[in-house]
Amino acid sequence: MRVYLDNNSTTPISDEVKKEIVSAMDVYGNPSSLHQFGVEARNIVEKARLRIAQALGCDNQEIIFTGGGTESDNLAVRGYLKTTSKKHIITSAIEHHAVYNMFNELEKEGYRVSRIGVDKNGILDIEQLKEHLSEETAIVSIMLANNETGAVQPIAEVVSAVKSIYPHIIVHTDAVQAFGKMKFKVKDLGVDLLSVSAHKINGPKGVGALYVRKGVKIKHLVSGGHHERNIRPGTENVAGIAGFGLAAELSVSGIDRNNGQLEKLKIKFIKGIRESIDNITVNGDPEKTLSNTVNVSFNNVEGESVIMMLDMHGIAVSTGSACTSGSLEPSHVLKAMGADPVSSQGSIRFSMGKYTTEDEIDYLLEKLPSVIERLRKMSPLERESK
Amino acid sequence: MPNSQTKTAATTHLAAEYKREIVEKVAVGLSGGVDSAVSLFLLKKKYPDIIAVFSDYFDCLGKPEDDTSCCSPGGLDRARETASFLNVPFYRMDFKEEFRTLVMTPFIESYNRGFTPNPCVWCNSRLRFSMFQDKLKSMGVTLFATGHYASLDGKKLCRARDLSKDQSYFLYAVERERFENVVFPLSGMTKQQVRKIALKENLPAASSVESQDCCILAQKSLKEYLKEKTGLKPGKIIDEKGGVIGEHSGYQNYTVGQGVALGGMNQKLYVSRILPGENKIIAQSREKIYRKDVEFRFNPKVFFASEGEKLRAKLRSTQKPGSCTIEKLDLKSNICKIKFKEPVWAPSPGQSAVIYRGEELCGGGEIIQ
Repeated sequence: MRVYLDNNSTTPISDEVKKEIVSAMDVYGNPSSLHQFGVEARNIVEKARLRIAQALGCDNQEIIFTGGGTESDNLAVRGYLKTTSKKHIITSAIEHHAVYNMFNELEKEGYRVSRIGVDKNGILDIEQLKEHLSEETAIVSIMLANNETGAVQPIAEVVSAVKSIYPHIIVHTDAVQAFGKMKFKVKDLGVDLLSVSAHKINGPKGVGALYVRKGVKIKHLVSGGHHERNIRPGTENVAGIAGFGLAAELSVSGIDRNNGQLEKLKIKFIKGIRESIDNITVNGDPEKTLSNTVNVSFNNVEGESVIMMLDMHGIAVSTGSACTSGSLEPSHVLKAMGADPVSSQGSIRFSMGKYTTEDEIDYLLEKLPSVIERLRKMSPLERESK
Repeated sequence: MPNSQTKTAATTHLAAEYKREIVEKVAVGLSGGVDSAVSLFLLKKKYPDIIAVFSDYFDCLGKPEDDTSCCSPGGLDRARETASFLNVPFYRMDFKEEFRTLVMTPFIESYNRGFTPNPCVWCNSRLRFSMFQDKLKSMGVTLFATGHYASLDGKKLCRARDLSKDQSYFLYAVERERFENVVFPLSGMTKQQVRKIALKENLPAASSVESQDCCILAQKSLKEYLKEKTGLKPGKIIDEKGGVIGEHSGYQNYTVGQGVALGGMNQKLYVSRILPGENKIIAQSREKIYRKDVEFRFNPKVFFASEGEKLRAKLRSTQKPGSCTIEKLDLKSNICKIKFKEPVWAPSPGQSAVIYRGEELCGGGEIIQ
């Protein structure tokens, strides 16, 4: 049996989306061309833009297509910073590396960075955020849902906290993990900039989008033609964008059904491991995390070994994010939550998707206890603790 | 028909070597080189439940984060490619931290003490046949294979059939219990046979160049690396009486036996001693670098010879073992003194002296004098 429980890394492309991409590939015109070949391609791109705008609850002119979530994040923050002379920027301690490392680099480039902490459940400390806001603050970038724990952040509250004192400060949110997994409308969140990606919602890799609220100015990061309102030069990835449009529509229209199923499986899984494995910590408050994500620390084992052994049983999971798996460094997210560095070495992220079945969770619950037991028996950490 | 011969030799060898109990799970340590690739190929035919594991040792060696030339050791890609070609599940295990503390740091310390270390020996005994093996074992692996040219007779470590490629030298410090569930599929093969198999089977690693002696330095020269890590300071080269005869670029750049270029001297001189405390190097003429007496410090757990025994020993992996006698075995301080029949070239402190009784490797240790 092969069980894919790493949907926060990436998801399988759905059949409908696959078909949409393939048929868009037959339309080979350049969307910027004036002739009919170009117009046909333009129509595909604009149809997708509308679908994404509807999924996000915004105007289609507020969507810029990019090459993925990481690019959207960079375009949002760096693109805005190019328009202002303010040098203070704020983020959280639990961002995805796309934002986390960008802020580290911005710091080296001379920006003053405030990194706001989280509580033990991985939820942003808004009071701390308020203390750091100032006239000099240019932008606040806080993710909507965390990729490792699924912890959902109070972005609407962040926006009102920021804007009520300093209306000029721009708020960006990385919604790559949240999009299609929780209900939200950009207008309700009130953010100025919001990043999404196609491959996390059963769409293709290498396509993303950035919501740019009307009236907010950002500048392009690479030079080129006039594509995407001069903000993102380069011929559009027409087929990918077509797939993204449909994937967005499907994920939002199916959100209640999916989440209902996922919530059930999540409860079953957490209950199951609590009954069959001792010395575990479920990271984050299950009530405040995405329905598809469960992050568990198994004391006295190494995450790397758990991944390998589960893989030998055909089960795919990961430690933190795919970008850090392979590294034994405790994740910065769990560290920020105050998790014990030793037990967070053995933390595993189980992320389900719309194709996850109850049988698969049963299979996982059948294999996982013996894997953990075996690894603990051989673990030097376990021996030391006895 | 050289190919069919090669194949027969390999198959017969496998049949003889691996008449073991039913093995549930086999892991082959893949390095990206041709030897481990062929080992995987050979074992895959015999064991269906097999995995390939690459142990990731490399840090960026202190390079800045944005240097794209590092963090992508070619071995990893080649190993993954090989496993995928042979349709074997591939895993990468992270030992960067352990490699740093157990191999890299002592490597630099050894140079700072004026020694010439054998990092491969440490890597094998402290990592590969230790933590790496343990980790595999904890995951249910019952047989572990590597592409070493060495043989096992039970738990005894012996030389490989291809003496020109024999790598038993690098394995001497591995505790023998460790070999209980280990196979070296190449023990009976020559490098030529291995290459032939790789070419015939089209293995991705077939054309890979010989792995360097010191994998630590795959990405830069030893000189460059030591300069970065030790802060080399120039100093004096002196003769045996203490007279200054030249300048050196930093004592860590030298190994006993290494030739030194001195302007204005007719005769070529060689490093005979390194004096780290004074940042000086003593150089002498060629004939004075040969020695008959060598002392090394051994670990009693991997030492199986007794005083007075007439054996053979070598001080470098590529050297032919020479006849020697164990003159003195100090079991308190674990120091062994051997006397070679014929003088040997430049025993270098820090390098390993390894002794053989026939084919068996029966001891070894770090040269102290």
